[in-house]
Amino acid sequence: MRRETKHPFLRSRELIVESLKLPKDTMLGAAIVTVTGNREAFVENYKGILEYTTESIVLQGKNARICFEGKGLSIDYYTNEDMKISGRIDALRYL
Amino acid sequence: MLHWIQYIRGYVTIKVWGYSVERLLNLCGNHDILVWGIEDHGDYHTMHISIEGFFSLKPLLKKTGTRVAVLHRYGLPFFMSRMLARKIFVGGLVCCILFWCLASRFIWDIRIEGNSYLTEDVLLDYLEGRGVHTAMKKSELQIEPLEQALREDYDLITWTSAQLKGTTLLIRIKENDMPVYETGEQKESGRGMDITASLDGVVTYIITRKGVPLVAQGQSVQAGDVLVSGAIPVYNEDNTVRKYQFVEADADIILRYEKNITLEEAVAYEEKLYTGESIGMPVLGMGEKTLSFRFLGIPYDYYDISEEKKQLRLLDHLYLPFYYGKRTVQEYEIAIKKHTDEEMRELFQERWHKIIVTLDEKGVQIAKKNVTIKKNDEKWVLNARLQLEEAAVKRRPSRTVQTPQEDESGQTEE
Repeated sequence: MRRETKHPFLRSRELIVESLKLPKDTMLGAAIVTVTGNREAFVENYKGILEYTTESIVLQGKNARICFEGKGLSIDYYTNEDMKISGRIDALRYL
Repeated sequence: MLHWIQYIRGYVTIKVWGYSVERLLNLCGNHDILVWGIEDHGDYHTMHISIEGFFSLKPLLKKTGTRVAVLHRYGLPFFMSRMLARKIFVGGLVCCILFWCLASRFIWDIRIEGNSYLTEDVLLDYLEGRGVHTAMKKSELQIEPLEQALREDYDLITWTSAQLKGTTLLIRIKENDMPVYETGEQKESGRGMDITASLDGVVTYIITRKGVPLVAQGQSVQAGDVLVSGAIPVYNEDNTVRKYQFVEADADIILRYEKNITLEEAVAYEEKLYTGESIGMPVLGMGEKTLSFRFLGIPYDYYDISEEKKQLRLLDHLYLPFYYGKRTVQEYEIAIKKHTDEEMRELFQERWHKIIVTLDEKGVQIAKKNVTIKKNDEKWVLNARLQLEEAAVKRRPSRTVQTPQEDESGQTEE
């Protein structure tokens, strides 16, 4: 699901992290998305909110944008590290 | 748990609209302003925000070109500020709580259970004498000594249990079913008990189990005479009394005595004929004074007044000196009537029956009766001459004095 970038520096960094078995989310700043059924999503390691309507929520990750699409979407809570989205999620896309 | 924390800290629901709400949300995240429950309503967004967060929102609003309006306030800080505006209410609430705390430190009700010979009034008076009464402090009540004192001061009471239930003092006692003749004190003094006559009469039956009988069957006695002495003399060889042995005299004695009973009943009587007219009026009372709500006079010549009053009370036994109720005035007319002979006979029979039943209940037997009825036009008079038989005796400490010089135990009395 994750879109790969061709950046040589990032590629080498990814290799190091992988070979040293370091946690990817902290080392690469990758977002973690946990989706429970299609009613609830839990996002960690995001950078900010780009768009917020009941039909779509677009979040900014470090390397990619994460887009939730659906009906009646709402943010239950959010902090600097994580947020919880509820509603009917139809699609999850990386832009 | 989270709800409680939110409630105690307080939060507001705000409505946000304007150029870029998303940017405002990002900035909130960056500035560690807690925002939750964000909902999109098309033109505007609503969200919950902590009070501190709300106050630090102003520069962010300016930066993002959004506007904010408070929709609701929740939590303790707002509740407190509302309460502070209602000073009298809060004062009343505090006073009420204080009053309950204070009032629960006192005893407001005393209940006594298990008493039949000793009436509640007697026991309550006794408790009052010992400083136990309603509206006393709980801390001043000493339960153990109270139980002990009750047992010691009333020989009739064989078991006691005092218990504090909330603001109620519950005293449970058990009475001795057998009547107590001899108190511990009398036993200690070494004095016996005599049996004396409680009426003037003739002894018709005497069987002595313990003690020295001083009367014989057929002998006339007067009230207060000693029938059986509790002092048994021990004689010297020269027939002088060496000493007395004191016992509790025990005997079955029946005295016969005469009693005259006169009953009168007038033939003519007044009968109340209620006309059916009545006036009802509410009554309020405080202490001895009663106030009825009737400002016009009563328009009847003859009338009965009946009153139903209820007393206000707290709990079961704490009565307040306030009454309320209804007073009814019923009109009647007087009709003078005469009893027929049959009715008169019934009236006398009824009264006579009551007397017999009362005597029977007291254990009195009728040995002979001579009843005469005198009649005339105005009244009937019943004369009854009864010969009654009854165990009319009393017990009292013996008044015989121990001979001091011969007394082995060295007791000297009176």
